[in-house]
Amino acid sequence: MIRRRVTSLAVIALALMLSSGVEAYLLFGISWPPGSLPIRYYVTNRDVPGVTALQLQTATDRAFGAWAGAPNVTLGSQFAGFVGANPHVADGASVIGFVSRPDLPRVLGQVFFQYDMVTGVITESDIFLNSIFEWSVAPGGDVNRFDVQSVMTHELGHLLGLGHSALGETEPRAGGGRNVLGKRAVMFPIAYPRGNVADRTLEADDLAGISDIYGNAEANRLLGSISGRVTLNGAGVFGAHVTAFNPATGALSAGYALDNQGRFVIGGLPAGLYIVRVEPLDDIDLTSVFSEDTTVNINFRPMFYGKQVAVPAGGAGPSIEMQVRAK
Amino acid sequence: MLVMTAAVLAAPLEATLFIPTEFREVVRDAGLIVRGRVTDVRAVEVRGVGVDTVVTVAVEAVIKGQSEAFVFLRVPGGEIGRYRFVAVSAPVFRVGQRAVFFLHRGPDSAWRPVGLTMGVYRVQPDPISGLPVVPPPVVGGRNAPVRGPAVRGDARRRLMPVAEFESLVRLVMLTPAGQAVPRGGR
Repeated sequence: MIRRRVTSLAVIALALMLSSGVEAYLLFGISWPPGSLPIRYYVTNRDVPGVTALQLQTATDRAFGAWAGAPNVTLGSQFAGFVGANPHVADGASVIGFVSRPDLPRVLGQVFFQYDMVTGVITESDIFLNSIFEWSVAPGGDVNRFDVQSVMTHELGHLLGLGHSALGETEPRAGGGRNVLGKRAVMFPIAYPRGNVADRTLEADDLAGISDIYGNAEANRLLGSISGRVTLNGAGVFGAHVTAFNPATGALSAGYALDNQGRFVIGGLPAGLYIVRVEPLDDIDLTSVFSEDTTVNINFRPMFYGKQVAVPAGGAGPSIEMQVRAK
Repeated sequence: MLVMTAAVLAAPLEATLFIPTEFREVVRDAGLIVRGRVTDVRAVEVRGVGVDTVVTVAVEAVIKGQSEAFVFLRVPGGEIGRYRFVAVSAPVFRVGQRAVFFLHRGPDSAWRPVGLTMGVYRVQPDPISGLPVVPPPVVGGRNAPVRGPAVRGDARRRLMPVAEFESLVRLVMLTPAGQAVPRGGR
């Protein structure tokens, strides 16, 4: 049976809320409350070729720093020490480390949560990087290896409560596979190729997402939101992907319609005018974004909202309805 | 001190970073492709790793490989007692769900979905007609350009009737590596 050292954990009851899921980017509906910060984590004391445990810890610390360094958010982390335990062994401690997972040959890294269904408290959250791949912590990357800090930044986004973003584009690769042509979010679920370190740096969508969860009073004062509905023949379109582009800054953020009314909210947006577009998610693995019981509609055409949408500082713009047409 | 508030872990909750994978690779890597219905879901502890869920699938059709009437597959995560062990990006199953499963043998010889969620095409009701459909995979030369990005909104990619999806899988199986999948029928 699983060892449960939950007695060593402070316990805070949580709210089982947000089930309607009308949120932007994708929020898991979990977060670290202020009283639990800084987030304490351990690192498995095991080296892999090219990366020592200490280098993993340093890269993890930098990745945490990327999120904590987002403007106007309250976040922090604290390295608690090296341990012999692997990640995702249920021991009540948050552990990060390398694990060989040949059964997951397409997975670079993964986050695990263990939680108590009675109290609703998360008792453990771990991250592993799959050591069947070659890894690097080289400052500029290594063309033959995946970048630890980049992948860790993505996984920590999950640990902090963010789901996957769909702001990315791929193309089939001659001879098989796909290329990532571009990403506008670290939280896009498909990795850049070996050697690429772009995911060390958060994009506007990541910043909006983390601000939506951990924004402080200043964020509440400065940031606003866009909300509305996506409908097809009068019915809500679950799973529609809504993007908000600020032509003045070039920032791109996005969210999803996450209920049967087709309602969406994109929060954490700097004030300004936004071009809003809705599109079907017909090019990605839907179950990497949505839960298993949802029925996602992709049979509609993309469209732009007819005019730019003003996002006020510290508030919400007018609710908009985007009436899409079937493909 | 580990304290988190949790809302709905059953809500959208998928997370992992994947290496880029194309549908043809999923088909190629699968030793067994079946359509079926989940009849049982049971979590087991795996020493030193965590928790897996053993999923029993009543096979309705075999598309690739050989299968008995029931297939047992494993996915990370599951529920034991009052604890839920969530392996984000691992598919979660409930009794009664239907899907097309792309499975490969793990090091422990158990069947596992290729690429976690990439290896599970859930059968869902069409939002308009209610007929069983699956999301379309992106297949260069078929419903996406052979070269260049797969542009969202491409009218060729629609929720597919299950039979059409299975025909596409068979077509992909017959297409030599490195060649575009022919458009064929619809």
